[in-house]
Amino acid sequence: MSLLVAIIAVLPLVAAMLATVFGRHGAMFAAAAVVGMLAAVIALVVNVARGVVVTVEVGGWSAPLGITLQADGLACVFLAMTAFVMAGVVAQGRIHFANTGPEARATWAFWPLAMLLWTALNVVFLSRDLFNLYVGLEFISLAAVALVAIEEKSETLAAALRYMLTALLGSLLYLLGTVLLYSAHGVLDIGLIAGRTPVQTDLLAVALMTAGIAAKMALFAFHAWLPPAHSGAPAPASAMLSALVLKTAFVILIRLWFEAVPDLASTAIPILLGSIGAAAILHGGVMALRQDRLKLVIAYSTVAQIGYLLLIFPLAGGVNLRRNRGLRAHGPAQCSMRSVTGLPKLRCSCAQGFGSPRSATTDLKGCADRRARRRWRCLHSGWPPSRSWGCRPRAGSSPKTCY
Amino acid sequence: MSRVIESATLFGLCGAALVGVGFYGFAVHANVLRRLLAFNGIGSGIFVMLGAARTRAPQTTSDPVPQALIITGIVVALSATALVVALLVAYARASGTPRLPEDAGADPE
Repeated sequence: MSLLVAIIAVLPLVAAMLATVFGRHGAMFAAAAVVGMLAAVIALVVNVARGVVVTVEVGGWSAPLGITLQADGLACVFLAMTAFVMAGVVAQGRIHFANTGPEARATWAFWPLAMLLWTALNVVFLSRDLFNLYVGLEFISLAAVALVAIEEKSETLAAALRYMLTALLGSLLYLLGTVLLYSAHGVLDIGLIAGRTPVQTDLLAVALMTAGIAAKMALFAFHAWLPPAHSGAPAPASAMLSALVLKTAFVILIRLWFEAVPDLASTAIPILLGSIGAAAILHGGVMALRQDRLKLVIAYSTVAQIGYLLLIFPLAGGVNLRRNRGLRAHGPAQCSMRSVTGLPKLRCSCAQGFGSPRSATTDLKGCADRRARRRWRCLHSGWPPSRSWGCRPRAGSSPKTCY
Repeated sequence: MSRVIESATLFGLCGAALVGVGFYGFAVHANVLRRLLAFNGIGSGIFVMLGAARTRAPQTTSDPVPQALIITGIVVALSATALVVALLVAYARASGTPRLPEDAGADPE
């Protein structure tokens, strides 16, 4: 069982190293990694669904000095979604970065970076330790920024720099909060933090961590880096960025508020987070309607989706997060509903990626002049977001009636 | 020998001052390299605060956990700094300026 967790964490890393050494065959190693990862993730999900508790202590050292990896329901849902999204990304990438003629930098560099990003995402999903989450967050940012800057144009480099500075700021705020928590309690494991005796600095520490994650998650007021970064990245990379990276930061936020410090969430906190989410939905929607380029429409719709994700706090928190003891059972259900939004995002980006090399324009006006034969692609990119319109948060409303 | 202030508290205050200076530098400067140096200041301040942190149980030997955290943090900050410097060099070569486009008209600093 620990072998499964080890495979899930390490296999993309091995593929990244092989793709770095044998640059021409990067797509092949990525495809092999996808096959192996899908098998491992499905096996893990089956085992966790049967009730087996999967915990791995790396190197045999236990917490606090060692690193503990654990696969619970939340982790399994996101591992599975990440595996399926990466399968689609690799499939699209093989066409987008097909190796014809002299080797371009994007063709060589995309595969190791994509596999490194996958490793980082899996590490974050499996971690139970606040500092390990910080390392995973930084790892994700490094890989994602490199993916944004993969084409060496001035605008994409500026977008990558802006993303990196915002991501660094977010990481440092998160680290500051972690240091404050460690200074007060001497433990970093999420379960041990939940059992602490509260101290006055805890609220400041958790607020700092939330602000840091908000910057990484492109929450409403901190989202300015997102549209240029996602529109500057190549289509498979921006699929990964919008479908996976932002949701991973959100997973850390959930672990923090629902598992580490639920007693700090008074009535005001879920309402505040829900209000910011509502503002993000409105702002993202209005800005998306005003855009001309398809990639910017997708980027602003991602901003709106992140606001949608934040609605979990008022919906599941209700009056007091502490009272919902059974939240661990409902959490995966809600998060699976939210994580499903990642798959339509992937299909949007795939459709856009298939369309743009042929038509040489990403303008919406250019899309309107296409021949009838290609209209199915426009339908393909329009249908997945419309599926989310009517999606009532059914899973989210059940805790309120249960408790 | 009695001290006016305990060494751990002094380290913590110095770390906090470093963090404050770093945040100010990040907010005020327009040149990306200066903002990166400000980030390193923030990081160093956080590590000093972590070094000054104490666990609940009194220790006669030094606590290994903060040391491990600081070392990991230094390595991570080093990699991030290297990436930003590489990006900045490529960006300055491509666009001719070390400032982001939205900061182009700010006061020279």
